[in-house]
Amino acid sequence: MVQSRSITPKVKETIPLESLRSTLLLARNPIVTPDLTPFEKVYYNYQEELERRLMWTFPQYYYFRKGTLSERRFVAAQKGPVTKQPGVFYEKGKPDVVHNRERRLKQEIVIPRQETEEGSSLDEINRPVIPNSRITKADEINDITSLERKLPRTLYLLIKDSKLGWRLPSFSIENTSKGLNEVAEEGLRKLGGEAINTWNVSNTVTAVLKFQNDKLVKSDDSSSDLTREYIIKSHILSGSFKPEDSNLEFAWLSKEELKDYVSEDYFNATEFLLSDI
Amino acid sequence: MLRSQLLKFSKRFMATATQDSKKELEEITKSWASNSKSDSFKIKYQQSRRAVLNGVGPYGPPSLRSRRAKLQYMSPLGLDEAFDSAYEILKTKSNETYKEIEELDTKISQTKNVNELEELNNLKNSKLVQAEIDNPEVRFNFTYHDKINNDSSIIDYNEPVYRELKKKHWEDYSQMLLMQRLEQLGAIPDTLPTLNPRAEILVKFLNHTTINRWIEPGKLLPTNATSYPPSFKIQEYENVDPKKQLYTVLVVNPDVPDLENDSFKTYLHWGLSNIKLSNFNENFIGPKQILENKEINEIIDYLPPVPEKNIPTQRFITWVFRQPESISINLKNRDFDIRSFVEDHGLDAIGGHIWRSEWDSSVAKVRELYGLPKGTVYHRVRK
Repeated sequence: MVQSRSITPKVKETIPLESLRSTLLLARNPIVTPDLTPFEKVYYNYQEELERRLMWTFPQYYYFRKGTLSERRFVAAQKGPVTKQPGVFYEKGKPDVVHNRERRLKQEIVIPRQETEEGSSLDEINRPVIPNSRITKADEINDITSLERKLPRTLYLLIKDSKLGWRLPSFSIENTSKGLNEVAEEGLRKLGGEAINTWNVSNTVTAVLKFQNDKLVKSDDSSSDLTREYIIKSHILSGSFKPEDSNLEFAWLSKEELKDYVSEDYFNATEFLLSDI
Repeated sequence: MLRSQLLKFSKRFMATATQDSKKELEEITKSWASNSKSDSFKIKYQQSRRAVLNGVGPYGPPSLRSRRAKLQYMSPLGLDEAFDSAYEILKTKSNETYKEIEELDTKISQTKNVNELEELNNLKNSKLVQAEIDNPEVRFNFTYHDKINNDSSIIDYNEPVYRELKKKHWEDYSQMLLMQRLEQLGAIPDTLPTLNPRAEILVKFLNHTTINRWIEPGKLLPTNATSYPPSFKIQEYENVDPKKQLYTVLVVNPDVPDLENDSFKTYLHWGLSNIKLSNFNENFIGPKQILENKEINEIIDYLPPVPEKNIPTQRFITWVFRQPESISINLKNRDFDIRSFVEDHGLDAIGGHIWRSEWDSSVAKVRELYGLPKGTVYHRVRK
């Protein structure tokens, strides 16, 4: 993924290349819609029930011609409401039935089961839709190296550095011929193999972290012996991160989990880059 | 046969009745933020309160009258769960707002700068509105009770939240109607250049000869109805101090024929100043208040509308002002320049009202009552 247009860092003669690093913020976007809060759950349930209660009575005459076999089948399949009978006491009030529908409730429509020939695919069409579980195997065994975990959340790639602990993957710049984004992309492939497809959000950097003797300093610090890490934002589209070096520890983590892994300073400096969803 | 049926029915009825009464006694466990203490923040009638907070019970909603309708009613599925969940969320928000108000209170007690204090008080006012505006009981009280002749234990306008709700209610209709009538009938700019309405002014004629109801702005009233002075209700919406604020009320008629100049002049029909409202609920200025309250100064006594025959409809415009200091002048002459009067005394117009009068058969009687001379009849050709 070599970009045609790239921005080369303007390096003065006086700044050594070792003091510049390119860091990659590689994100896996959510795969499923976000989890509903308890309130959202009951609210949407209420709205749906209300909509169904206020729905039009099913226009049976439109779909089934009078006197046909299909009409008879359809009518036979329906449960039908409780009807109003003279001299009967109804505990929940007299039924309010119009066009074979209780108007105080939603209408349940039963589709008659077809008598189908053997091997017909109609039964398969009628089968209920069962969504896949939102909790995957990786969630159950808490496999932090899997991309198929925490489906409704954004995950970020973290790598354990032997000296500095957990952090975003960071790469040194060897010469000025390549842009920061190219350095980051190539570095990622060197670490995690070619079987990964990423998409850079921009060739420009999103943030800068400043270090002094491997310790984070404030963003407005302007000492001469600083090491700067330029963060490039990117998404993983397909493939996976498979490190060549089996000793390399890596993890795909959401924002909250990331907090427990990285140092407090590091989290505070990068928090604004991370998504809450 | 019939008897046995009846017996059966009554047994069944008794059974349901006892069951219902058990369910009816179900306790109300919900309560709004701990700091919301006013009685007006609760629904007075227990059955309604239970229905609002606990949901409709097996006995049906109390708002329906007949037993049959009550039995027949079914509330939508999932409503109670959604209500409970929303109530909890809004309640925690309200609790947070009350905490902020406590902090504001300590700040207010420490500040001495007048401008800063006013700013903080306004902020506190808006927070008090914010803390209660989502309370379903407050909304219920405001929606289903009389907003003008309010019972202060149900709708208490001393609470900023009810003032805010009433203000919105007023802005939705009455304020627009008033401004339309004032502008289309030319009261603006014939009397005052413009009006920035901030208070609702309601006018009523309290006497046995007439309709005892609030008058819609711009209405054409019979002379008989206006023969005794009107009463006012000044509903303030802004956060003023009702114990200190003084008000002036002027009733002017800009349509008095001026034969010398071949034009019209303005008459002052009634003028009151130094009116004080004890609070936001007791803001009615009627004959009783005027008699009892010695501080109220009558600038000029009431002259009822007695229009002459054959002249156009007369406009009677009521202007209400906030006054910066007390005014104790008395006028003899009814010829009146309202603009210079307002400028001289630094009055701030906050609201108004308008009604119209024209000659009718009761004019002669009213003239006699007030000892006024007989009216002139205007002809198209002057004699």
